[in-house]
Amino acid sequence: MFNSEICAISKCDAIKISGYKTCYRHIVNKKAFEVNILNYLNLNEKFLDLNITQFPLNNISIENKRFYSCKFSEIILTNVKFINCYFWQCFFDYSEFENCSFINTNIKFTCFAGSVFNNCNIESSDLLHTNFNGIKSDNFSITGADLYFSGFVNSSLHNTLFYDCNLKKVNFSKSIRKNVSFKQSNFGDAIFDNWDKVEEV
Amino acid sequence: MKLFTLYNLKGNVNTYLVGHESGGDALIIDPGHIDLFLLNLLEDNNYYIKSILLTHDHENHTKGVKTLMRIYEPLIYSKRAMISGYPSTTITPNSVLNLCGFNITVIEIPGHSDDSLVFRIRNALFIGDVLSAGKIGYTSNPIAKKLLQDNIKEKIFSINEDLIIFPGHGPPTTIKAEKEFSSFTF
Repeated sequence: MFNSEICAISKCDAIKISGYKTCYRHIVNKKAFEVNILNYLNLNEKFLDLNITQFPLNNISIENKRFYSCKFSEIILTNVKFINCYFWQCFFDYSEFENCSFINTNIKFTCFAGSVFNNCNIESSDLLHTNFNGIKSDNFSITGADLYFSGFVNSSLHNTLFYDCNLKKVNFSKSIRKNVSFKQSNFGDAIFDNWDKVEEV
Repeated sequence: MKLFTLYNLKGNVNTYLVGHESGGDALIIDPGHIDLFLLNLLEDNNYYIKSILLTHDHENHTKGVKTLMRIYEPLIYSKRAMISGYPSTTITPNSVLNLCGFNITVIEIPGHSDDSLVFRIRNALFIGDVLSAGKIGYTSNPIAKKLLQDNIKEKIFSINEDLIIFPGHGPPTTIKAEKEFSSFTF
C-alpha cells in the first residue's frame, strides 16, 4: 500500500504527514506532533502508510513493530535501535543514521538512497531488494545479513564491514570503498564494475 | 489509493496491484505471475480486476495475463494490439487514461523495447524496465541505449523529483535518487 495524499498548503506537493493535513514542514506545533507520533509508535505494532518525513527521532528503542509502505524520508535518527522489526517497501531516502542499530530486523523493497550511516550496525537481518544507492557510510557494520538483489551503486563506503553476508546480485557499481571488508561473505557473487558485462533487467 | 507490490521469484519481476481503500474495481500492472497469494489478496480486499496495464510486452511481465483473463476478463491496455493471444487496447502515448477511478498518465519511453510505456498514477511512476534503482534497462544496441537515456532525461528526470519510482525489477527508488546515483551518466 502507498499513501499519496498531498499537503493541504497551496503549491506544496509534499506528501502529508499521517494524521495531519500538511507535510512536516508546514506543521505549526511541532512539539505536539512529536508527542503524538511517539505515542502512536508506542501504542501500535503494525503501521501502514505512516508518513513522518523529516521527523527527528532520538534515543529510542523500537521493538517488535511492522512497517508497511511507510515514508521516513529525510528523517534524522540518533541512537535509535530497531529490534525484531519488519520494514516492507518503506522510504528512508536522504536520511541520517547516527549510532543506530538494526537487530533481527528484516527489510525488504526499501529505499535508503542518499542516506548517511555513521557508527551504525545491522545484525542478523535480511535486507532483500533494498536500495542503498548513494549512501555514505563510516564505521558501519552489516553482519549475518542476506542482501540479495540490493544495490550500493555510487555509494561511498568507509570503514565498512560486510561479515557473513549473502551478497548475491548485490550491485556495487561505481562505489568508492575505503577499508571495506567482505569477510566470510560471497562477494564473488556481487556485481562490481564493469556494468556492461553483467546481467541487466 | 492502495498499492500492493507482489514479487515473483521467477525472473525477479514486480507486479503492482492498484485499488481503492473500499475495494471494488482494481487494476494490475505487469502481471508476470498469478499465484494463490495474489488471488487471496484480491478476495480479501474485495477487488475485481477490471484492467491490466502492461509497461511492455515481455513474457516475464505478461505471463499472468491468461490466468487473469480466465477469471476476470479485464481489458488489457498496452502499446500492442494483441497480448498473449488476447486483444489489447492500444494506448496513445502522452494520453491520460481513466481506469478504475484513477487518472493514469501514459509516457512513452522506447529503448528497452519499442513498446515501453511508463504509467503515472498520482505521485507513483510504474516504470517497467525503463530503469531500476541504479541503472537503466537493458538495451540490445548502442542506438537503443542512447534513445533510452535521452528519453529518461527528457521525460522522467524533468518531472517532480519526489515522485516514487516502482520498477519492474528490484527495490523502489525516487527520481531524485536516480538523477544523483544511477550508474549511468545522463
